[in-house]
Amino acid sequence: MKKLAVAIAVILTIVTVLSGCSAGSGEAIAFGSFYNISVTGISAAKVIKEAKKLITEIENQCSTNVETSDVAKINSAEANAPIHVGIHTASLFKLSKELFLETDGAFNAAIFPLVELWNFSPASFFPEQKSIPSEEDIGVVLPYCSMNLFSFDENSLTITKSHKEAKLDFGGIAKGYAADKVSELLKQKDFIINIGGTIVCGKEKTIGITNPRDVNSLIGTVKLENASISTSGDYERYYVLGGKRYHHILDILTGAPSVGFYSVSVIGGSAAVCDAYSTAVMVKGKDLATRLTEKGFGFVTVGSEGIDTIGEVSFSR
Amino acid sequence: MKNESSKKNIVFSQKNASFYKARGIFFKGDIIVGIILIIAVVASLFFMFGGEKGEIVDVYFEGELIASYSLRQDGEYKIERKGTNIIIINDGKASMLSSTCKDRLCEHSSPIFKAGQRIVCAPNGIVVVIRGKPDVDGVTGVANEF
Repeated sequence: MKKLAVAIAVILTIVTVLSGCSAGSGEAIAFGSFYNISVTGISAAKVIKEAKKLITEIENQCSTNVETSDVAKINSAEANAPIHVGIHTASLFKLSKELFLETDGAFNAAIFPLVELWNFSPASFFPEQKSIPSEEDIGVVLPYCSMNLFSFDENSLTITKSHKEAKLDFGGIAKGYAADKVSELLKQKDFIINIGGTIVCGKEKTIGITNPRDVNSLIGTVKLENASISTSGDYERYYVLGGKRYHHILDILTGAPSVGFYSVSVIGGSAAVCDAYSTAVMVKGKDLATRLTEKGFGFVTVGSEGIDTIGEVSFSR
Repeated sequence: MKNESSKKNIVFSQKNASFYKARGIFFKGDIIVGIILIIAVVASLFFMFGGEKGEIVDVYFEGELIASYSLRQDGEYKIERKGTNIIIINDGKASMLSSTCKDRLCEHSSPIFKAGQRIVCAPNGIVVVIRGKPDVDGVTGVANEF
């Protein structure tokens, strides 16, 4: 009997230690989607609290949805009126400008006027659209959809636009940026950050890629270690009119939704860059992806011709 | 000197031995504590490894768990927080029957049934997720992004 008591005490101690083991996770809503941070290691709970605070800070500065954000102020500003911005907005602007030039405009944080015209902005979207914009309407907004209409002053930390109609939207890069910033906070080696499907992890993890034509199933998985993955697809926000699908990833050259891939997943070091490249490759296609593999990025694409990998990717079906 | 202390030890344990012999091996109190401990062990094991996969759907409001339902029981559940969402469980799957949010992307989500799958209503701060460890550590490319 005494042995049984000792045995129970030992088991209880082990269980208590295991369940109190330093691991933590936090989940909430930001950037119009859920996010989840899981960490194993000492001070997990503390760092998750800091991460949540950081995500809120980024969202408050950079989201088009937040009325008092820098982006909202820039978008409603007059031409030539400098708007003071915070460090996150500044970083996002600089990175977005670089990527705009690198991808020949395929990633375009200034495409918001066109997005609004197609009713794909968070404020305007509803699934039962009755019409699409005319060529004429598209022609009116296209000239305002350029990063070149914005300038950033490093000294005063201000962004100024040359035309009132020009608007910014960091929706195609903000989740990746936030994920990168949170990963910088974490000293723990075993973690996974998932912000609306844009993922950064430390120790090796298995990540499923959603099937763009059956969102409850996966097309396969990739192994990710000390890296990021981000996906853009034509199934994330779209409407169907006259039997045709119109989705939210717009091509600046046509003024209409991109044609080609159903989804593009990008694997690389920076989640922000993966986020932007996934949009850019949806627009520009395989050639751009091939070019970007030289920078160490890998791609998994899904389209009418099936599933393809470009660059070094450990993808399994 | 050694003999003295050894003698004292012998006397001490003998005293204890007879004390316990008289009371029996366990006090009644010991038995009750023992039962509580066993329940605690079993309960904590259960919480550590979770329920069965795909059996329970959890509803979160702004990151806090506010409700849990069994997938094995058909039903309609109204969630009233920032807005109003109605979750329906039918045939082992959960879906968003209706929502007061503007874009109603959540209403157009496919029914969920596998551990880790979720339906998000971002404007109302609601996440509906099937409890359990999914087959993968994370999924990229989620539908219904805002």
